Amino acid sequence: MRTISNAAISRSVIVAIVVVVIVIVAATSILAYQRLVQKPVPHYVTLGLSLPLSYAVGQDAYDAAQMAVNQINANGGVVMNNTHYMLRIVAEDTDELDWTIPVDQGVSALEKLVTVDHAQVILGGVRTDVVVAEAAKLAQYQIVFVDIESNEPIVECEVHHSPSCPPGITANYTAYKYYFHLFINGSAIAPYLVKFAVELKNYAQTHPGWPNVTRVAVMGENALWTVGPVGRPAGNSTLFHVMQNLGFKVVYASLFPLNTQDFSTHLSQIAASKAGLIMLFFSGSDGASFIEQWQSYNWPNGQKPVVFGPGLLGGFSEFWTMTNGAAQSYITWPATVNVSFTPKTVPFIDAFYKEYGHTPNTAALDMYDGVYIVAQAMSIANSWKAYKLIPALESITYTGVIGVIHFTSSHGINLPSIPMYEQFGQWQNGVLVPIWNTTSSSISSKIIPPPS
Amino acid sequence: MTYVSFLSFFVLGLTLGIVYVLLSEGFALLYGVAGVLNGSYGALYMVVGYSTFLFFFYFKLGILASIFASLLLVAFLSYLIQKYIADERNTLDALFLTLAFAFVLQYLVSFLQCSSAFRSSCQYPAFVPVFINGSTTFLGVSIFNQYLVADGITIAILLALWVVLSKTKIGKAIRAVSQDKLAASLVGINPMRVILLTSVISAVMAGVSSVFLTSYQTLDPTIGWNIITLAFAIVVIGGLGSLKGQILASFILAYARVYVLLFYNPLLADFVSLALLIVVLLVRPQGIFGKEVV
Repeated sequence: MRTISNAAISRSVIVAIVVVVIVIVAATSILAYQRLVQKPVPHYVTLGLSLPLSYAVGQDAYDAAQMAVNQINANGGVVMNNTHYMLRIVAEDTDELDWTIPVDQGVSALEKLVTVDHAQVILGGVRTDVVVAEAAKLAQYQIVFVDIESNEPIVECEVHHSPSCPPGITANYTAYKYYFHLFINGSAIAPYLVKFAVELKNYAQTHPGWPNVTRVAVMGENALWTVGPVGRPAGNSTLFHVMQNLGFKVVYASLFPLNTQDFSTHLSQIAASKAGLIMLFFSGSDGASFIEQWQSYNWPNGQKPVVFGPGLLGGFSEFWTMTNGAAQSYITWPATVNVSFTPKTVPFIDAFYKEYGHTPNTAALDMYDGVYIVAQAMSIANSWKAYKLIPALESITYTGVIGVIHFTSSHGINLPSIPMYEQFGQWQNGVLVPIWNTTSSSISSKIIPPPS
Repeated sequence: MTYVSFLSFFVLGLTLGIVYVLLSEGFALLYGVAGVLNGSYGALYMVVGYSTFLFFFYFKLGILASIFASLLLVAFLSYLIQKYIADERNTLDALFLTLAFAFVLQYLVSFLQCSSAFRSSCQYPAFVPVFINGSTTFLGVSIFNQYLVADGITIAILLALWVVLSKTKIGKAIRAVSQDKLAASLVGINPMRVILLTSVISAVMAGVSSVFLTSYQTLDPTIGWNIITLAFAIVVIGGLGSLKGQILASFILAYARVYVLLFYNPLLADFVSLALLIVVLLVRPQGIFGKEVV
């Protein structure tokens, strides 16, 4: 019995072993076959977008990033170490154009992009105080941040001292080298505004129907970015000191809180000051309210002052609708008019218009170039890792839609050779008409005086 | 202060003061009749702005139809708030509940504004278009016609309110309920219905002020908080339940604001109403015309 039992067990064991071996061989063969026929798993690089997605500035930037990513991927993606990497974007809403939200919310979005979404490079940034707070976190995450729209030189000056940096800033390259700035900063705006004001003065003095633009009223929203150009108190800045030396007189200057709704008192004082030119500095919707009220106001002798100045929202295609057409004759900077800053500009604007039904704003142009610059830098560096990407970005020269871009030693954009930042446009019957840029010898005859 | 700037101060303060009366009247009326400090008053103001935007831009109603539809909506909303949230509660409970409801409305509007249904409203801030264009010069000072009409409507509403309260049966019922609910019910008045009606009138007043004022700003789900703060300050400074106190406080705050805007620093304009509120609460807690509670 014992012998028979052992023999039976032996047979069972052998059968079991054979079955197991067959299963293993079959499974291995299937896996090997699958591996052989399987397409290679695509490699991805994730670009994190830190944007106020509920606002036009964020939405346009997001759409432009998507356009750039689609185009780059359609051309094989980014090649690093002979491997094709596809780009993908992940976005977090900073809500930073709602002035009532604390800065922390913007920083939280950045943290989520890095820690949860695993972004490898960050693009975005609109509100200066939010970007300043975000920049302080970059060294901790060792991640590159390309700022597309905030405009105060604080972080640039932290990267590296430069002649334009305000005194008292302590440069700290190790901590801030991750930051790159694609937008013009608040102080750098001034020369363009002065040049235009002088041209406007020459034009107004030789053409009928224009007010006395040498009497200037300054209106600035109370935000970090206006500290440089508007000054504190308002009117006390290099910009206006230079203008006074060039024959202008500041007859009224005031700051106004963000989201101001009623400008009656300001307008009455501007009217009493007999200003012929209002230089308006705004980025939010308060600028639309101001323009509406300026247009409705009964100006002495029916002579409206000219309004011009930097207004982020003022150059957006929606601004005309927002003001119910009151923007007629308002001159804005920067202006995303359909002008060939480079051979790439008009094709991009046309493609964006075809896709989304409106003219892209400055944030869209900057973001579009930002994605391409990052892609090019990654292929040069053969990596998305910051320690390799930073030297590549520092030495890059890229012809984008806004101009030929390279970064300064403080990681700011190379002014003055970005044509988009030299362009002034005037609202006329729903269209933003190009009227002057810094290379023009004089103002275009297309300019119109304020309606009486 | 030059003569020209004095005229600006006088005219702009007068215009703004009348607008402040309109803005706070609904809030004061509901407290006077029902003892309800409606914490959602500012949120109702905000909802009217958004709904006018919605009816006008999405449903393509004309501006007047959009305003009318918005006022109906806010009247209905106020009816629901009074009936299901604030009714039969003491002042403090009602205040907290309506404040909580204001947050609900704020977050709901915030969510809906960028939902897939209204995605294009994310493209730029919502706004109510100016529907009365132009300006009129009065004593050398230019005033927006829309403000002038708002002033006219405020005066008309105050007169109508005075006539209704003093000359009509429903007005007498409202006054009776404001004095003593129990006694009013003993003479056949239904206090519940009177309070509901007052609540609806109050909301419509908030709505009317909203359609006139929100044209001059872009909409934001949080705009109601400044409004309720201002209404609360006016009512407390004037004395809770006192119409003449409320009118006087409206002008005090309006002139203080215009003074700061014209002659001091625009960045401190919003600070004035709160500073005055604190001073009045410290010096005369019952307000200028309020009765001292013993």
